[in-house]
Amino acid sequence: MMSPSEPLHYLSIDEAGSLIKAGNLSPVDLTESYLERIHNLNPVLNSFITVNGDSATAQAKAMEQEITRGSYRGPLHGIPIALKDLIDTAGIATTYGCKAFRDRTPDTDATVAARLQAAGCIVLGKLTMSELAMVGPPGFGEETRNPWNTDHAPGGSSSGSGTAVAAGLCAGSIGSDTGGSIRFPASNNNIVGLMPTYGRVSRRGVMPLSWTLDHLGPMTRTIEDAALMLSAISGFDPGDRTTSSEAIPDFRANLTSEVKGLKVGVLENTFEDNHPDTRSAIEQAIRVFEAMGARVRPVRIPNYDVLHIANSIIYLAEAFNNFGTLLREQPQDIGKVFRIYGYMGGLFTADEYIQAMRLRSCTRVELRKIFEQVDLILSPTTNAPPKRIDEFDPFILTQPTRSATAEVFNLAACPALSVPCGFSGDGLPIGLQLAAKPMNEQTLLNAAYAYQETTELHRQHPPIQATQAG
Amino acid sequence: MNDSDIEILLTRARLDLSDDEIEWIKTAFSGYHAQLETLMSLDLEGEEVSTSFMMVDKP
Repeated sequence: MMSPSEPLHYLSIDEAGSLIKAGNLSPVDLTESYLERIHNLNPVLNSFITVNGDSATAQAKAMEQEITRGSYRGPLHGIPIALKDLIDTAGIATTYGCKAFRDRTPDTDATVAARLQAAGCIVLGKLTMSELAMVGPPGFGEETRNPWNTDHAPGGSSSGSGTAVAAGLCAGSIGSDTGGSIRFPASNNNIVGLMPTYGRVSRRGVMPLSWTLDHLGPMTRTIEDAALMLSAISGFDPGDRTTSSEAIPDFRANLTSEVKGLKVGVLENTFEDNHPDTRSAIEQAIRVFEAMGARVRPVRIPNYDVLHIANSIIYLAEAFNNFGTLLREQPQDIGKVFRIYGYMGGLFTADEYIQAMRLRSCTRVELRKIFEQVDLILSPTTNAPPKRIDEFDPFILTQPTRSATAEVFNLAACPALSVPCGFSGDGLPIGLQLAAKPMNEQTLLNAAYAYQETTELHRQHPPIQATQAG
Repeated sequence: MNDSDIEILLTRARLDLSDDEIEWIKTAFSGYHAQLETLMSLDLEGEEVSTSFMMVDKP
């Protein structure tokens, strides 16, 4: 009889899946352990906006019975997960974190939700998010808190997706990313967050913020788990014409920690305004890659200083196209933060949008050239550890020096991930971002896996205890 | 961005904002101003916008 290496709520999907397959772990017990943890900790963390308790238990029993009958779906069979509250789930409220949609309950599952359930996942519930996937707090309900220090921000907009995974409230989650919204909360919570290539994962049934920049991706405690979830959610979907028909690799089976000779480009543009603890953590990460045999060299992206505004113009204009009527007719149901940026989306000119798209095109060409020289681009995920919640500035995205560390890879449709990279002097997580050329998630995952196995930072869990809320 | 420019943009976008909201917009424009000016001054040498949004491959 195998015994788990961690408490049930901190088991990786990889390990839990192996235990379930071998008959050494019951999906019902695993689900109940998460539901108990949610019951105890969610009042403090506010990771979940909707808990799907009874239905999750019923799903877990069904998954267990299938295994008893000898029918095994694969490595996600019986694994309890949760979804950002902009992913449609049949019969479960999906509110986009906005008061205007608080009574919205879809009839059908988004493709990503359907694929995960077909793979055997159990949906524990829906995760709190910044209102309409912008930045900051949700439009109603309580604000999500960082389990590493509840006075600090979890990162957004996939805030609950980050904290729920970090605090052991689910085995893995799905977030969305238009300019860093998977990678920022991953960095802030010491977990893995993977934004796949544009077109890798269907967005049918998912709230659009920006049709040309939105991505869905896994948020997990390990690289192996990100690989498992990515394979399950990838692939062409006739319901989303932007999806690729590229073959879907078995990312988990292909994982290797051999990175000798890998060419890693350090994105120099991102080293100009970093918190000293972030700079120190990233410099240490570079030394780790060198010690593993990678060949490291600096790279620079032209016009980097205006990529943030380019990304902002594109997604805000697209968001206004989607939410303009709501902003005009129900502003009282939308919070200040989304109103600021939503209105701005309506005020940028067509000339500015076109210029932003042209720069985007140039940036894709420049990145293609860089990826002829290196296999990966390395940078900090954010330029500082998580800030205090009470220091949140609604105008944060308009700051003239705002870096495009994450956004550059949305613009270029490249896959990018954040992996745990260290802690600040105050014990707050710092993330390392790695990016690769389109459809090269395997290279990305392999490098991050090698780094994870060397540093073992993923084994550190937040100090929050169930008794804090109990 | 002066008040009359903002008024024109708001009218064009069919937005009827409160005085507080207009102040937010001014603050946002002020923050974006420097990057926006630089972006608009870039000579992108006729780069085609049509290449900027493509699927990785076509199904």
